[in-house]
Amino acid sequence: MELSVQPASLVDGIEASGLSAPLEASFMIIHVKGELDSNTSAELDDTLKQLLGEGSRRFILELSEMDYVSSVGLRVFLAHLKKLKSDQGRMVLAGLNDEVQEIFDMAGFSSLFEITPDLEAARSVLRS
Amino acid sequence: MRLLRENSPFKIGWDLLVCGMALITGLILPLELLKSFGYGHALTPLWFLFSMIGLLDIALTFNTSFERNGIIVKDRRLIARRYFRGWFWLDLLANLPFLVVSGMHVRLPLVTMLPLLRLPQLWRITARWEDLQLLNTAVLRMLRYSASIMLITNWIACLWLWVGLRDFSPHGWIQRLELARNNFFDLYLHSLYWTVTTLATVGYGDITPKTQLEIILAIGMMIVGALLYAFVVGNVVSILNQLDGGRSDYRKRQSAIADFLGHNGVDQDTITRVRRFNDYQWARTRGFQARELFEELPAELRSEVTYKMLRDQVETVPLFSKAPPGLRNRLLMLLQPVTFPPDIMVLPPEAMGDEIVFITKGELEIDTTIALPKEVLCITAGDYVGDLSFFLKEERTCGVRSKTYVDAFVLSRSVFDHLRAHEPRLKEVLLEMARQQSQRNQSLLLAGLVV
Repeated sequence: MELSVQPASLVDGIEASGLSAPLEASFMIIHVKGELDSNTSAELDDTLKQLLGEGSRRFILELSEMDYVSSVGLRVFLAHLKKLKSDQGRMVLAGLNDEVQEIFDMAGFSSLFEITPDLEAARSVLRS
Repeated sequence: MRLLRENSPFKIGWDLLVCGMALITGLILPLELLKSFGYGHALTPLWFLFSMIGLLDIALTFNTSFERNGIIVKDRRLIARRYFRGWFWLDLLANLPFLVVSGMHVRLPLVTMLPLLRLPQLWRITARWEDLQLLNTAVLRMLRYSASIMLITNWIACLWLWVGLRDFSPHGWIQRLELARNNFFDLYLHSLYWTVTTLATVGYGDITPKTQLEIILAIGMMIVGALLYAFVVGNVVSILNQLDGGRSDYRKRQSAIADFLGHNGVDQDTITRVRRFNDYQWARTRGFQARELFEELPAELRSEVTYKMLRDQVETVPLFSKAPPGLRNRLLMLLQPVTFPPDIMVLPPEAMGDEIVFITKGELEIDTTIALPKEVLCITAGDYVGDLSFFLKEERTCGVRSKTYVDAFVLSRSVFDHLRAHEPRLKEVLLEMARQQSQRNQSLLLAGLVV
């Protein structure tokens, strides 16, 4: 699995200008590639913990290149969602493939998360 | 006029009325004739009413469809032809004469006895009920035998009374017992008493035949009595055996199973659990396996029968109750109905999640030492379990155990894959159900459990 974290801003154009947005006006985009299973979930968990520790409260998890999610991966999503909800934060999942979407649907988790078809839609959700 | 159905509630009620009328005619008319050698005036309204009902019944028969070889015949010409070729004339004879004869005050014993021709209706109607399976065959047969015994006993009593009334010499039984001044009902009671004691082969000897006619009648009675009682007792025993036959076969089978298990070293405790499980199954199925029983039926009819048999249970399971009828019927045919006894592992741990269990009755419990709320761990009627490991295609980290007897339907992966490919509506139903499962699955996953 590969992870990459990209800070982004809720203010249009600020990223292109090279300035950094204040924390309360920014969010983190985490790209997850490959399989999120029992071996790799810890890395995502640590990353999220670290970002939360640094004060980030808005996340987009870009999952269009995530092929598989295991129960451990789901647990990481659920645990951090719970924490974020209690801290007035938000977590949007973007670009789930059909297989992963079905797991979320059938486990009854689709209604817990904000899920969008792609990154752009996820940005719009956070800006709204 | 609309055609009636043979099994419509109105027709069944009407047939009951006709049966009652036939039975009352068979019991009272011989007495009435014996008393007055014609229709007595006191019961005239009753006989008139019966004749009217009888004629109305003829009219209704012309307007009632019938079943032949499993086909409902609604063609009025066929209905009329069948009736004319069958019972019409007998029914007409049974119900018409009273209206004619009573108006003319005619006393012709043979004519006035014609209403007794209503009696075959008792057998015709009950035979029809048997064909239409409106009542248990054994119960219907018992009713028929009871009616037969009542009627035969009554007729013989009337015959014995007729002999006594006919012979007013000092040797006749009424004179010998000095009953000549007694009223008619008292004489009939004595006559009935003699009939029953003779038929039952008790024979107290307080009323005995002395005249030639009485002796001839008594000889006939004893022969008839012996035959009748042998016939009746034999049949009643056979019916009682039939009533309890299934249970008796079941007990024999249970005993054989216990012997077999004991012989093969299975301990008594396990044998008892096997017996209890079989008892539980027997109480619900009476030894029949519905699917095997209905294998010859077309798939649609089979699933409809299965649904109606299990309606109460099926309605509790959202998978069935939320599905449209077509999908529900397919699900009923493809999902495996199972019963689990108490305290067994229904879904074992560390096994691949390849099935989802939908509970219709009873209670399961997730087998874990982790403290979780009861509503997460207990799975009851209407709930389902096994979905998380099923959709994640993972091994279960803990098992699911039965707390009570549990009736359930099991959805296997092969059936799910088949249905998913052919039934797009299945996903919608599962999605709707998943919302109710969300809280439990969330709690389980956060506790590190996959079931």
